[in-house]
Amino acid sequence: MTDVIRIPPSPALRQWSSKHGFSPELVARWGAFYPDLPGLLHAMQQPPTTYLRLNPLRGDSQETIRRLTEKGFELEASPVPLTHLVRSQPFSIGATEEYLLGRYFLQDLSSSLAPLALEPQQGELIGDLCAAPGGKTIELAGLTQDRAALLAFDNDPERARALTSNLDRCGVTSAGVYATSALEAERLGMAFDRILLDAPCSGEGVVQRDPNRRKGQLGEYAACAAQQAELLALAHRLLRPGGLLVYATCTLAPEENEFQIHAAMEQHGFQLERLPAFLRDLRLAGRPLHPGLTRVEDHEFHASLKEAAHVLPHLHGCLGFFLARLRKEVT
Amino acid sequence: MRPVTPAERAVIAANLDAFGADLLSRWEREREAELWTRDARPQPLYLVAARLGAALRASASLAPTAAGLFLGELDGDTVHYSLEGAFEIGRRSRAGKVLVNDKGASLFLYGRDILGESIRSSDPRARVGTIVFVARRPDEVLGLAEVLQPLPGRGPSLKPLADRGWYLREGG
Repeated sequence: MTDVIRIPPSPALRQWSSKHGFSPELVARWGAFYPDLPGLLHAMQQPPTTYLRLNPLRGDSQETIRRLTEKGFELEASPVPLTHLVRSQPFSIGATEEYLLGRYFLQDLSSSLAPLALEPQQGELIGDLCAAPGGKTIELAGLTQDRAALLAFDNDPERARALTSNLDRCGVTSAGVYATSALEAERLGMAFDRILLDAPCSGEGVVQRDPNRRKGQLGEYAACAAQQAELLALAHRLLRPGGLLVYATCTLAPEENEFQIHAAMEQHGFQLERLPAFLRDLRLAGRPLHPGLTRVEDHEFHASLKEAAHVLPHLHGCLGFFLARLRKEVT
Repeated sequence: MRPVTPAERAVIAANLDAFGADLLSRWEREREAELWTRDARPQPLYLVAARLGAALRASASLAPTAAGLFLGELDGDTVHYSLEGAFEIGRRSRAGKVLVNDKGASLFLYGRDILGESIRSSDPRARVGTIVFVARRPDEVLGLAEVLQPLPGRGPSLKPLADRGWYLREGG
């Protein structure tokens, strides 16, 4: 992989960054890669929005909405099915009886797009390689009517325990949890139909939720990128010929997004596919998803990278996210 | 992990008969699932979707930490139900339930005793020392409790054994 791209910050940008607690190098990069830097920085300083995703495996969705509304929660349907913005809450939305019954789980809107991009089907063998705490695994179970085989990996024992607990709470019978690195999945000797890889990353897109990430150090990005490359190579080995991978991150760094996808296509023969029509036609805050970058500074990527997508906080009203849908060659 | 043996299944089915005839078979059909367990004492029981079961059978080289829905534990001839086991039974059976009002449900979910004044109705077969399913709505079991005195009683009548508030306190 190329070295991390460094954009020299201007004096004005340094001054602003210092005042607001951001790394000037990060801010300079965002300004070079994405539109409307002031808007992005403003959005990153706002409290994060809260979304819930209804769980079709546990009760009628309309009944859940009715019960929450009766309790004083103000909910607004989002353009993504089963996902609602929590506009106001008389007490924590994560402490209701309905939450404890598994009728919904808390998941950011952008995060919910990854399982939708995968289009999982009943009867398939599906891998979730970095699964904890389990929101996407639960969503995959819902999308497949709990009739697929979901193998969920997380190498942190405490996070794997939380993953198991969340799956139980939401009534999932179709998931197996492996408290081990996804690299161990090769020992299964199986060929997956689909894989979701929500890769560990630098998390620039979730600054609203974790302000510490305002001070992200570029020197750490190479380690993230190395791990992501390893996981992409693993996913290629695990997939059956013609199998489908959705690669996702919550970062804005092209080294962890477009660079990774371009390399995966070159090294492993993945083909980047268009996202499903629902996502291509989706409008968040009235705007389509932002296309993947086909050029960053002096680096040109496969033209098909435009079919990848970014969710950007200032354009879409939710946390930052990146999605790419990749097909393993048939032969 | 492995599927339960026919002998184990018979014991489990006999335990579930207390909640309705042939409940286990109906359960397996409705969920298109089967029971799995581990060799341990007590034995954990899991309801595993058929497709997942097929994958687990093909992958004996790497065992999962957990699979399917944890229903409880088999200890000799007795099944001790988990929160989800109680919930799934409660969806299909009226037996063994105590319905409580809003206040009782709220206290119960904090792990507090339920007072007799909070009890709306109870299974006539509930006796002191027996374990009952606590619910506010008939098909949504909130947990399990031990009967402390003849129901409904006055004052502390049900002692929580497991409540869904656990998911907030410790579940993750």
